Amino acid sequence: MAQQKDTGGRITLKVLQAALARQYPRPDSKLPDLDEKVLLESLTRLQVMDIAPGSLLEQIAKLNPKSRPNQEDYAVLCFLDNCLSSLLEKIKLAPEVQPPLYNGMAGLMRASLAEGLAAVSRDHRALKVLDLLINLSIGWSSKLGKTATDTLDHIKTTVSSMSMVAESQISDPKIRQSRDKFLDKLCNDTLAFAAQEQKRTSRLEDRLVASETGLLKTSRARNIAAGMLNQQMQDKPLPAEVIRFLQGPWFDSLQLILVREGVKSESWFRATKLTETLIWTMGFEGLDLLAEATEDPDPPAPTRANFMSLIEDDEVPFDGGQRVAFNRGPNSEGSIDFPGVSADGLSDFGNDQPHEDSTFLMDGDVQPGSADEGAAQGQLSKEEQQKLYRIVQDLPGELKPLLLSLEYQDDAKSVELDAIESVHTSIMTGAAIAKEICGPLPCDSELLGREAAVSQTLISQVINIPAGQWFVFDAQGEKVNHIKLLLKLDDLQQLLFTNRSGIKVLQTSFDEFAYLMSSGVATPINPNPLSTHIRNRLNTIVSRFAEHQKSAAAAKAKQPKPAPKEPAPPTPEEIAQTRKREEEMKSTQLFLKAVEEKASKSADQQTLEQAQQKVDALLVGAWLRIPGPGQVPTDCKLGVKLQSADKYIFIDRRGVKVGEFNRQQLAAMLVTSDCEIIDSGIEFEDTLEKVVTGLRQHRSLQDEGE
Amino acid sequence: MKVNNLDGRIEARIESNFTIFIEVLASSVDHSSAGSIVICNSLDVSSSGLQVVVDKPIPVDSILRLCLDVKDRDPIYVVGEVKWQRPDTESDGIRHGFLLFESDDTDIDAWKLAIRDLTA
Repeated sequence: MAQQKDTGGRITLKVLQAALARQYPRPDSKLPDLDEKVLLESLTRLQVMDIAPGSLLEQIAKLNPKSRPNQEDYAVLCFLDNCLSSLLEKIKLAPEVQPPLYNGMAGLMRASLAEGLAAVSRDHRALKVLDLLINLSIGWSSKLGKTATDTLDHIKTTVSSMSMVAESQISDPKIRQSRDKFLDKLCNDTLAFAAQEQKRTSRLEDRLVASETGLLKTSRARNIAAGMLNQQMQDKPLPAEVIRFLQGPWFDSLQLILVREGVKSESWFRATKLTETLIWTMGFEGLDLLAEATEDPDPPAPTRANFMSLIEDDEVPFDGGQRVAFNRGPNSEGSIDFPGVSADGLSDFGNDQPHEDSTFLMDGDVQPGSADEGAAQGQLSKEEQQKLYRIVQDLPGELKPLLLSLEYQDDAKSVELDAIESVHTSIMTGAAIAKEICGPLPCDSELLGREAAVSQTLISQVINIPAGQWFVFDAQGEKVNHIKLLLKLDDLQQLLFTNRSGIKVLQTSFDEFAYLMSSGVATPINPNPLSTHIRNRLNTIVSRFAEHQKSAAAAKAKQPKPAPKEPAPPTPEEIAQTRKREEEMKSTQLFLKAVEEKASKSADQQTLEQAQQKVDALLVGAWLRIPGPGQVPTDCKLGVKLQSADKYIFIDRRGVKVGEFNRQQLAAMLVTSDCEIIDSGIEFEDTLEKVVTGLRQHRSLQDEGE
Repeated sequence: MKVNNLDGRIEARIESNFTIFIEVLASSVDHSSAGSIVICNSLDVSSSGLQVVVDKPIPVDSILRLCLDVKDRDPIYVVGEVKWQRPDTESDGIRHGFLLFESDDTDIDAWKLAIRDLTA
């Protein structure tokens, strides 16, 4: 065997050999060692033979049934054999491209025997060629037609060319230089081939990026706008004209604002506030200002012109603290802060300061849009009236510039705004208006929704994915695919993936893809798959060997185990907390004892048994009202049921322990009515199950596009 | 995946990144209020516990439902108690150690089987 070079650095040749020998012991065999020359010749043959994917060592054994490589050679060959087969198993290349890669590996084995494994694993040109060929194979499919055939031909040709490199006399610098030059050419040829293929695909990909970016933005804008409107309009009785406006031109305009300026823009913020304000103004009824002001038994029909003229002529009494009654339901008086209006009564729609929670406050915290708001009755003060009138007066003007869907249709815009003004006039003058509750706009609900949050650790993995990164996509029950990240939209938190042909196969959010990566459905493929795999496995084997040596040495030296650390003494707060807990426990025990006594005295055996059966039937997740700390009745759920240990632990929604009882105590409390079963926990799909099931069901590619 | 049997502990720990769902807030009794779930990764798991990293601290002694999501297996639902928490040195998150209950009506047996298979 040619001289094995020292690895240099921390790992010596001796350690490397010992580690490999430990990991790959030569099977007990009475067969003699295989001659070095014969072994190299066998590997040369394997470089050009048609071989089925699988163990190259088995192929060597078939070619040389009467001998085996020595331990040192065996360990190296076994290591490389293992590396390739485990890598191909991991990245799941198509079966058709695997045989030539095994041919190539036979060549790498030759180089390892000639130059040493350590030298080969450090950026050897043959390894680089193999890496490039593996990259070319990612996403390969026979369905790609001529492209697939050309790619496979190139791989086979390259591997065949590698077989022409002679490993004998490789220690000669000139021969080595010539060999390296030849392998560099193979690398460059493969890179050029890949670049040409990419050039063909990139035209398709560029078009896809342009169209999909627009579609994604539009779709996201639609969902956000619909979501906002649905939330604002939910359960709010509104006049038909307002519903038509909000779900028509206003909805279209909201989407345009989002697409053009984004969800963090001032325009979107203003539009959201205006939507809220418009809906809020629809909540007033029975103002009846016109009749009061004119005292005319037959007042003129309420029109905006009439109404505004009254305000200008001051016929609607504002002085003397006169208050205008408005009917909003059951009695509720108090001052009102108007949304979108600052203290001086002027509209602050243009104000950059967002209102804390976009609500107005009444005494008793009545929220706009709530049932209470519609049901509240109170009186507006003079200042509040003025504010309301100003809002109503200013609203059309504020809405106008944001009606982007009617940007070049002034007439249509006027018609819409006049309809709103007409409704406001009717409201202000007490005219009866029919209202209805509308259905929601269609909205694609996000897979995760508001109920689930993906941790930053997982999200950061997605954020760090570079464009062009390939993944193995292996969902349960689905065909394994290779997908490439084509587009990552940070503002929309969306990812777009294609296959080798440049056809879209997956579009997903950051959150969803973080889950796919975390659950192992999507696994990134390293850009230098084989060399990285070889280095990592080598490091692992050497580390394990070093640990083994260390343990063995420690056992030999019979070192005493380090003494366990003494726990730190408790702080005064901890002592106080412990005392408090002990007192609570004592109090609870006394209470439970009293309950049990009471139950046994007051109830007959049958009643007690029935209560015990009810306890037995409780499932984890059951809700009960039980005495909590201080024996205060508390709604909580059965978090842990240890029937064998006769222990039932109850917790609140946040997982804080409320109480712990045994079967007898629970039964006694049921009998004495100190405890009540609210829900016995018959299985239902709660939030946790919904989120898990939803994500797992969503694990599939949209279309393979082949 | 790395198996540790350090510190004289009885169960082997598997250092692995499994997807863990933690129900940090349960649904209300009438289901009018949805719960809140955190999706994170485990740092290591054993038959009786696991270690995770999440963004916000979960109070020690909290008893929460968890779901272990392993590829090619059904989801495994268990109940665990937070025994400790400390800042994670490798990220801005917070590490938490959970001890699992051998509770009825949970998949604790499936959990142990899964850990045993993964250890093997």
